[in-house]
Amino acid sequence: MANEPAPGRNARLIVPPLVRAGEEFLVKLLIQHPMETGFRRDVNGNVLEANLLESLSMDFDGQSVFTARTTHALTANPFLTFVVAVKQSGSFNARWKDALGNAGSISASVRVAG
Amino acid sequence: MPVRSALAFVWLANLRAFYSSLAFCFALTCGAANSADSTTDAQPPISRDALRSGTDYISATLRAQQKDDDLNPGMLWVDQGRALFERDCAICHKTPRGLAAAHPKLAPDGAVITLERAINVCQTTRVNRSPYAIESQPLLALATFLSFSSRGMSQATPATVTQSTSWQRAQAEFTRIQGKLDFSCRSCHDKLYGKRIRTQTISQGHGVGIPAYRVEWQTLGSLNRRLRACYFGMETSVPVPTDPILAELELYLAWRAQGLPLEAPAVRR
Amino acid sequence: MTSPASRRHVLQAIATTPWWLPALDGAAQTMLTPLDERIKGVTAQRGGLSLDIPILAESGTSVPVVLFVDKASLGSRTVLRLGILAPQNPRPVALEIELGSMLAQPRLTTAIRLGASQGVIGVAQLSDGTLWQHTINVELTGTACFDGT
Repeated sequence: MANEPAPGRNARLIVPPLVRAGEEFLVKLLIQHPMETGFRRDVNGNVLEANLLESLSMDFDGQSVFTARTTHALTANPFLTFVVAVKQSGSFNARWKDALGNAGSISASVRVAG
Repeated sequence: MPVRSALAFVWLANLRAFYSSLAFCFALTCGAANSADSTTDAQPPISRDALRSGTDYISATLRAQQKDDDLNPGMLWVDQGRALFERDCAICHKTPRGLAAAHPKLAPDGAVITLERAINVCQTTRVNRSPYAIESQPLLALATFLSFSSRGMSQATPATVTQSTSWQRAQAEFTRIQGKLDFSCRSCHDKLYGKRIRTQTISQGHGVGIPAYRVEWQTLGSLNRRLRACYFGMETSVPVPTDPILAELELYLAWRAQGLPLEAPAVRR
Repeated sequence: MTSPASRRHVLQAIATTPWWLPALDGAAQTMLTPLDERIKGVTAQRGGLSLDIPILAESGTSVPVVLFVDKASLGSRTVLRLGILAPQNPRPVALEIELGSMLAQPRLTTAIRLGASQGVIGVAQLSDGTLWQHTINVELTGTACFDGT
């Protein structure tokens, strides 16, 4: 459909804009993705092609926050939140790829006060 | 043996006839009561102080997800809608706020203009593109962004709307007993809100959180789709998306909600 | 097993074997191969792990989950991986995450899909090889009105 972004192209990565060094805060990731299981059928009975995320990871200026090895049962439009702490300002970067080859990424900066 | 089974058959048939006539009488009584209301009573069925949005009737989990804009999946469509608005609409519309609250409204010819229809009118006449398909991603994104931008506002439905044929057709539909389960929209949403069907609590059926992310759909959808889902749930024939009764019902619901503040995008089961 | 190629294959096999296998009961274990002789038979205890998931889920399409380890129970150890297993799902491994150094807490919040009422198992693998698990029985409830759109 025209104007429709490929699955996984749209996401939100929410971090507080300003934190103290070493202070714990939440990083929230929300990805727009159908996470089609391959078990659903359309109204005509045809199987909807499976399309799950195959890789998903996040780092902070190159240091790993997490790497997902399997995300089979995450919901459609999945969200994940983690508790992190940083010592200096930098950028959180999340990236992912799905079974059909659609790749996506998103970044969000956090500034350390002082 | 054949005589006994024949007698049993006749007995069963009589029993079935007895129960269906009971149901018919019951429906007739309810129907009569409803039709009496619809011709003389133009007051919203739920009083203003008793109005509650659907958010009050969902589980704590869904409510928490809805209230957290960081994790509300509907916000993904808001982000997309914002980009489309800035590209196509901001030239004419200085602010997105208030546009959704002004819909649905009556056209001069008496037809109902829903938010989605208004977006497509602009799309064809001002933006000079082909109209967005019903329930398509960009149309949902724009409708969600606009509804989100009218958050906290009331849908402006003048009292004179009850004089229109659209409203009257919608009210007749809302109160009509239909389907295999023999009830009307009114049966549950006017009279039984707060009560439970299995583990779910019946809401007042307003739709002020629409477009909403419905977990069952695993995506976000419009009021048009949600109303069609209601018909399906009532086990009656489902109108096609372009059926005017659906737009007319949107108008009726906006009137019925009496200014309950908009709160899109909602998260629903 | 002296050649670099075969050593690499062995290491790969160990790296990809399901470390969480002992957390599953016998029946569930037979669904999954291969088995790593080193971790087979290792008992997983509750330890400092907690799986927070509703026991009555209103929809299998989205069940909220919090999986976390109490840092005080770790001592000098770290949590290498967190996992969620749903043995009754068509794909029993719901989620498996390697934790990075940036995490301040071994804690994850998300929502998963369950295909049936079942005992959902949270698993944690620690840096010293310890395996912790916590199982919660989740009942899925049916919908009130069907939606065919």
